[in-house]
Amino acid sequence: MVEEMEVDPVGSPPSKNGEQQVKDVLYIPSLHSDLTVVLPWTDMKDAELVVDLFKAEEAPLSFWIDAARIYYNKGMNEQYMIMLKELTSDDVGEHYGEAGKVQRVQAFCALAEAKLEERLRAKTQEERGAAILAAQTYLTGASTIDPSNEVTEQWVAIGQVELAEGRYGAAKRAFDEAVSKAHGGLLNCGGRLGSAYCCFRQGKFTEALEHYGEVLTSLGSDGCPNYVRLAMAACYLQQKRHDMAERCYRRVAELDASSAEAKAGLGALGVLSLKPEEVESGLKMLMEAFELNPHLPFVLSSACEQLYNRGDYASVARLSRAVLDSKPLEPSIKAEAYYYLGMVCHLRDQQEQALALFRNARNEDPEYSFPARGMARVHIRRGEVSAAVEALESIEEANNADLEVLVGLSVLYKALGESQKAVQFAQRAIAIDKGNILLEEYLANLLAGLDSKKALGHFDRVMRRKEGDGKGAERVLMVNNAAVMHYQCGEHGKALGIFQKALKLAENTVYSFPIRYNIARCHEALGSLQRASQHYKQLLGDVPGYLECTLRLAAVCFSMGYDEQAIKYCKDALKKYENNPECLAMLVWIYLTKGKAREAHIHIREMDKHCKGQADFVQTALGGMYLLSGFKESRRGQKEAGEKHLNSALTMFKQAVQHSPRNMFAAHGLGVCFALQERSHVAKKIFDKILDAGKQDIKIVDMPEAWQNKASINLENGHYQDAWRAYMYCQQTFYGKQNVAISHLMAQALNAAGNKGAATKLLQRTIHLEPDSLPSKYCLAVVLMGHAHQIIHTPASLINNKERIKDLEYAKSRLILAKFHVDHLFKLKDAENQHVGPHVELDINRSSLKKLQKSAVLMQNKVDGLLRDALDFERQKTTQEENFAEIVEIDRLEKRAKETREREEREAKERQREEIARKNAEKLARMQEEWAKGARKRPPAGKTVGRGGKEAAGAGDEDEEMEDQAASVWSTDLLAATEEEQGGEDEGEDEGEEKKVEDFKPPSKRKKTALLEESDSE
Amino acid sequence: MRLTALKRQDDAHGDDIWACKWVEDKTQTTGAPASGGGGGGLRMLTGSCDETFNLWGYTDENGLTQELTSTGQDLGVVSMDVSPTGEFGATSSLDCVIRLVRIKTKEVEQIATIELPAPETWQVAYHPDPSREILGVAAGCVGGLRLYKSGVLDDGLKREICHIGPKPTTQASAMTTPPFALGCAFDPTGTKCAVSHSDGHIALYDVESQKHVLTFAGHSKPVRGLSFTADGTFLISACDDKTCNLYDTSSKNPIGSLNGHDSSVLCVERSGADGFCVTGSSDGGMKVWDLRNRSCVQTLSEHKEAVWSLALHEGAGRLASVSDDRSVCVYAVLQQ
Repeated sequence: MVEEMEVDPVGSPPSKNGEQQVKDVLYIPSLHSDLTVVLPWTDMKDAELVVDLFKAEEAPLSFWIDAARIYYNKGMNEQYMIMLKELTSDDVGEHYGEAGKVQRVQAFCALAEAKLEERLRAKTQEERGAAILAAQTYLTGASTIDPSNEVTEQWVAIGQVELAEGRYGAAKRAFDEAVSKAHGGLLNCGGRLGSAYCCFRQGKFTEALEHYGEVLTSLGSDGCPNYVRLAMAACYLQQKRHDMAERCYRRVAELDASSAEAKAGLGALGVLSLKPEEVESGLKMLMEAFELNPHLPFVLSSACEQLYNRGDYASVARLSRAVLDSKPLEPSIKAEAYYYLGMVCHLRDQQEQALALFRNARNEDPEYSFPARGMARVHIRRGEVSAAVEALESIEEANNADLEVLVGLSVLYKALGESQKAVQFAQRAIAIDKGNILLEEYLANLLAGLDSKKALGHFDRVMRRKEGDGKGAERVLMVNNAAVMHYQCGEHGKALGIFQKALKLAENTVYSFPIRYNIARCHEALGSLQRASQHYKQLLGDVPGYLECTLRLAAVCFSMGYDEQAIKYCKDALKKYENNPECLAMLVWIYLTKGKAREAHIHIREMDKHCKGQADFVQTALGGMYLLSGFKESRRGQKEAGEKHLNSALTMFKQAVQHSPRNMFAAHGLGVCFALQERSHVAKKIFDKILDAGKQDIKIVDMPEAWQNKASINLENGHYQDAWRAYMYCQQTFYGKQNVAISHLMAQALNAAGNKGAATKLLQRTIHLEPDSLPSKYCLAVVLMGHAHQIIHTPASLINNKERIKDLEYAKSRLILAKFHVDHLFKLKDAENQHVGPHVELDINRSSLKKLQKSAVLMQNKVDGLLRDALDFERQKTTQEENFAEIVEIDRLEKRAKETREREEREAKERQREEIARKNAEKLARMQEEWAKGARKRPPAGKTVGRGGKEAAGAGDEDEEMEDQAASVWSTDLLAATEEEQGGEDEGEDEGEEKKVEDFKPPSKRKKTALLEESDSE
Repeated sequence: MRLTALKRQDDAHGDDIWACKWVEDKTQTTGAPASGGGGGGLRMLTGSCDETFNLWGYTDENGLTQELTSTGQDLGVVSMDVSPTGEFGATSSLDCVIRLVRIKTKEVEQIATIELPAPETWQVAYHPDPSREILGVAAGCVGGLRLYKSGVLDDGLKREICHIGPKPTTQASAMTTPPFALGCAFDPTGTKCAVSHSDGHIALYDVESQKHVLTFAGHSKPVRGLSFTADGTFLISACDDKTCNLYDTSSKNPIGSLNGHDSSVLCVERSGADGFCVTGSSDGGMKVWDLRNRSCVQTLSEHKEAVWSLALHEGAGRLASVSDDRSVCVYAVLQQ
């Protein structure tokens, strides 16, 4: 442990009065003469008087600085501060102006550094914070005077402040700036020492040594303070260059025989040596160093640390006790002594004492983090994981970048089952130590059960970095581990491929056997139980005593429904491994699952008798027995007895889990008990944890029952999709899609989720697989009725009535089928009840079936009613549509008839018009002829009239016509008259039409036929 | 004998396919088929869980072409058979109805339905003699064999011929649940009919006398498929215990066993006259067996899921398989 080094705050600025400084006398120049008053430092204790003198004589500020330096060197802190405060006062600033700029900046920096020193003495965090803040304020004051930071001390002070805040990078930059300033010489020592310290803290020991070397060279061997050499020794120690470190320590010891640090360093080096005599002398020197300076934590920590690391716990205890028994010490040293004594007790398994000592250590120095680590260790040893977490978290709060603590917390949270938190801490640890492969591998393992993609990402990185590392067995193990990782990430197919690759590498070696076992496990996980069993059998052929393999084979056989074979394998294993608790437990489990309580009980007794050290197995088995009994009692309707057994089972399982947290059977039993007690939330958590454990650890077998129970809880809680998925996984992975009971549950989940079609299909498959399964038929009936119910209660739409009819007919057919099956089941149950039929393997009583029958009938009636209504509506709709179509047709025909009539009339009128025109033309021709004759033989007017009257009388009608026509020959009214006539006719027709509208009656077939005939005749 | 996959029809149905049969006029087939046969202008029926059965046309060039989908069933089609003339077909479905149909070109006409009061039907098989017009039915939950008249009947004529119980030799008790009858197969002459059951026993009946002849032992798990060899001397069974037993029809114990499947054997089909048979398994595998030395001569993995039915077209030398993976595969049967 290396102490934080102090950098000379004032940094010995070179001045023209440098020589006088050494004599520790004060010079006060006279304002009005060349005389200078010289005062010994003993006469200048009144700093205010000195200030007054300076002010009166208007002494340059460099004299003030010299005075301050003397005060500092003589430890006259009060005077020193007065001097500095005066220097930094506004009056002085105004008076001296630019001339005193450098000195005032130096004063501000010195004040800042004084504050930082105060910080070291501060006891509380607040005080420390306040000190840093004050230092920063002084630095701001300095920057105000010299914004360009041209004064070296300014950079040194900035570096100090950054250092105080733990920002080594920033501090080093500031110190480097100070070093790079063109002042050179002694002035640079402060910056160099600061830089060196930063390098040391950053682990750059070579660079630190370079800086220390520079300081040593510039100050000279005699002028260089010892702490530079001690710091160099610390660097050499870190670099394991013990010879150089020893040289440094020896030089310090030469220069100062009373240097405790040098003795401690030499002692530590001696202890590190392998020669016993050197160790002894080293220890002696350490003790001497402690005698010289018990306040030197380094001495104690070095001594204890070295002794502790060497395993010399007796010496550690002796030293620690000696420290504690000696005169009153600093709390930090006492805390260290308590800590090391506590660690020795912890290692001697005196946990109570260790804990008390750690508590003492923490009380002595709450800032000292090691006791908390010790307490965490004690708690871990005692299995008190939560308490250990608490202890480590207290360290983490103080320092959130402690790698060891972060990793410890991650591991503990993992143990507590809080994987997310474990991952978070591991990720933080990785962020600190990015190149740590082991940590990355650990994180990958953690993530395997949570986020397989991320896990594989980490693992790939690990693999890439490890690639080519190993040969032979190492390579095999690495490939095998990669496969295990894929397995844990749920990529069983990929895992299988990699395991096969590993098997090729491990051919004809002992490693091939576990790899083959893993291959079989992959097949098992992929649901290829047959292949898995073949692999297990082959492996057992080669390694007959492979117990794990035998038990898995038994489990696979049991999953495939070969119960007898499973029992046989267990019994064979029992012959080889007499009274093996795992074999017995497997047998008990098989018997309990099959409901064979008697056989189970026999083996439980055997377990109890022979497996004394395996209490959890016995407790698990007993729990299983109680569970089975409780379940049976409940089924019989004896609730109280059932609950009693259930509670007993719960107690047994709890004890078993407490005894062995990795006992998955006990955990599963616990989950089942909670589920039966309707504490499904707790039960689900337990099942989830079991399944997580199965994913994360290839050695923990994935339990189909846990999947099934988790799914059942999801089903109960209405999470149908989740339930279905879990059942599906279980069915595919463990039962090769052939477990009828799980199919029923899957159908139930689908049915509840409203996916009746899929449920029906699934049940059909189940019945096809097991045609004599009555529960399947019952389930099918229920689902079919549910489907019908769904259709019936779908809101009817008048627009899609045809679709509705189709749906209702479908619902009807579903109900008929449902009723068919229910009737069949009812008949069987009825016969069983009346003792005229065989036992019916159906867990539904007669009255339930009767109810179902009734429901089916009622639903059938309802469907019939709905169907009738829909059909009636459809009929009405069809009639209406037909009528409407007829109206449209009649309308069309009428329109057509009207158009025909109008056309005919138009044609008739045209013909008439043509006739009239023809007649007019003829008449005109005649008249022209007559006029032509008259022109040749013109008659007298009277005669003409008379003749005209005679002609008129004689001609009769013809004359009248002639007259009419004569009047109209040139008249344009010729056609108008016709139009009038036509108009009259039209009116007549309109009237007729109006009459027709009044007399309108709904169209009739007769009318339509008539119209059609008319149309045809046309 | 070896099988060579010729054509595959994926998504032949909307769900698992459970049954298939070639529509073949066996009365026209003379002698054994030529090696490799010929796959021109064949037709096939397939029945599925999707509550339909399809009629397909098949040529080696174009594979299967769907000609018709019949949607008359209320639940999945479990089994189907085609009469020896290829004129009629019978389907048995989970709605416990047997439907008799006339198969026309691109058309199927329903001629009769046999509605059963309980799940009393599973596999159906036509009597090999077309003139007899008999349909044998594995009687489902009541066990044993039911015989029906399969032709078009006048109104009022009773269709059921008889029901022969599962184990007439033992005293049938009302207090014991009869085993579920699953498989049904007539021997090539049509004198005998075998019915397999869910408890593993296989009953052999005499069709003429309508009496139980023999009970074959050897299985203790459901026997789902049966097939007589071409000469009718042997009966091959396909059982959930992953084995196929070979029985001499005159003795109750198996004379041999075909072991090799990794999971339940669901169907078996004889290969013709050359002493081979083909079996389909619930893991999607198919195996060709040489019955003379009870050895597997070929393993096929065309299907990913359970193979429920196999059908041999003796005339064309083509074998079809259907599976839960909704596909139909057609193979050429190559005689060695």
